[in-house]
Order: sequence, then C-alpha cells, then structure tokens
Amino acid sequence: MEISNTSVQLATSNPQRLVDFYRNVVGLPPTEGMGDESFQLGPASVLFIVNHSEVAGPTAEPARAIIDLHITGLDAEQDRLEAAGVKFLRRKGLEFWGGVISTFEDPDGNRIQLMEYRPELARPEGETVTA
Amino acid sequence: MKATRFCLNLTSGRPDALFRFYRECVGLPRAEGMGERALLAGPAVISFDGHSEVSGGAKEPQRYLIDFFVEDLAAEQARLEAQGVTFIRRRGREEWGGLISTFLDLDGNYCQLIEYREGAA
Repeated sequence: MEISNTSVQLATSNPQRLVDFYRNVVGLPPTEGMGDESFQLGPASVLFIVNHSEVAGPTAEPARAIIDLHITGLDAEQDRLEAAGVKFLRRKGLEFWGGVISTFEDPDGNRIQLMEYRPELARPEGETVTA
Repeated sequence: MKATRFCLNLTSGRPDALFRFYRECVGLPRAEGMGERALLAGPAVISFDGHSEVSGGAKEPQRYLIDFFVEDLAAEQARLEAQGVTFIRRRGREEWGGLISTFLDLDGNYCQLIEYREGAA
C-alpha cells in the first residue's frame, strides 16, 4: 500500500484540555492550515484531537497504542515537562539497542514516550546496563 | 518540542500476528533498522510489541483512529476486502472533501483509509 501520510486521531470527551496539554505543556508544533486541534508528529505526520460520542473519561487501555516521539535532548525535555508538573512513569530507561526512553501520560491517561537514540549506550541483548 | 520521527507503538497479546496483518494484508513495507516488527506508513513508523497490560481485542477502539492517506481508496479497499478485512465504514464523504473508509485490524483497532481530492469539499 502506498501511503502518502499517516495521522492519528486521538478521541476524547474533553478536547480543549488535551489541546491545551499538547500545545502548551508538551509543546508540539501546530499544523498549519489544519485547524487549532492538530499538531505535528515528527516531520510530516499529524495528531488530531477529536471529540467522539463513544469516548468518555480516561482511556481504558493506556498501553494499547503509544505515541513515540524520537527527539534529541531528552534530558532537557524531561526536565521541562517535569517542571510543568508532568509525572513520568518511566524515567530514562535504557534499551539494549541504545534507546533511552521516558514515558508520561496525557490528561486522559494516553501514553507518550520520548525516545533518544544513543548508539554509544548499545549493549548485547540481555546484558544488564544502567543509564 | 520537535520530534525527528513519529512512531506509533501498537501493543497486543499477539504482536507477531498483528505485525503480519499490517505487513502482508495491509501491505506496509518494513522499516529497516527499527527492529524486527516495525513497518513504514508513509513518513511514520508503526511498531508491534507485547505488553503485560494488553490482551485480547481492543476495549476502546474509538480512542485511537489510525489514518492512512492513499491515492486510490477504492482500489485499496477492494484489495483489503478481497482478503477478508472487515470495513465498518465505506467511502464516507466528509464536508472538507475527504473520502473515508474504516477497517478493523486483527485486534479490532480502527484504521482509516483517507483519500483527499482538491475541489471535493
């Protein structure tokens, strides 16, 4: 299948709260020309915050679909988010392949992971390492 | 925050089967260098993993809609239906000009094919 672009529609019963979170706290760039409730995910994909009649309250399955944002400068971004009151479930966890991962939740409990690839930290799978 | 790449991590009680669905049925190419269960969906990556908190079908599939923008929705829908994929919306027209069909993956997650043509609004 030839796909020109991919987007994620994240449904909520409180769109304004999620829009405020992703815009003002996470600091995702707005997507020009696609409305105030859309944000850039990476270089070309889009996150849409939408209302849905069958969605209410916090997510029932926070781990079912996780938004991974690959960034540089994870330390600084995590510090900035924590200073804004964001609670992290995982803090700078190191994967064997050299990924450093921090995980937090949005106001609906949806999970977002910040990922920074640091190849110098890669180790053989199964070997115990610390960040 | 500026992300250099976006990846949607879908977790499942049967990640291998879910990966095969997107690889062989939907027809997404592998995302080289991103692990054994990672596929390219346009500029994004979809990866598939198991998770201790996830099993069975999606309990709240309306929460996440995964949109795939394609050139020829009718052809892609026909190809998927021929493989037994279930569509719950067929070529619905949106006021902004988009044509949308919605199908379910093996876990019941909602995926949407979207075709947009200038002047169709």
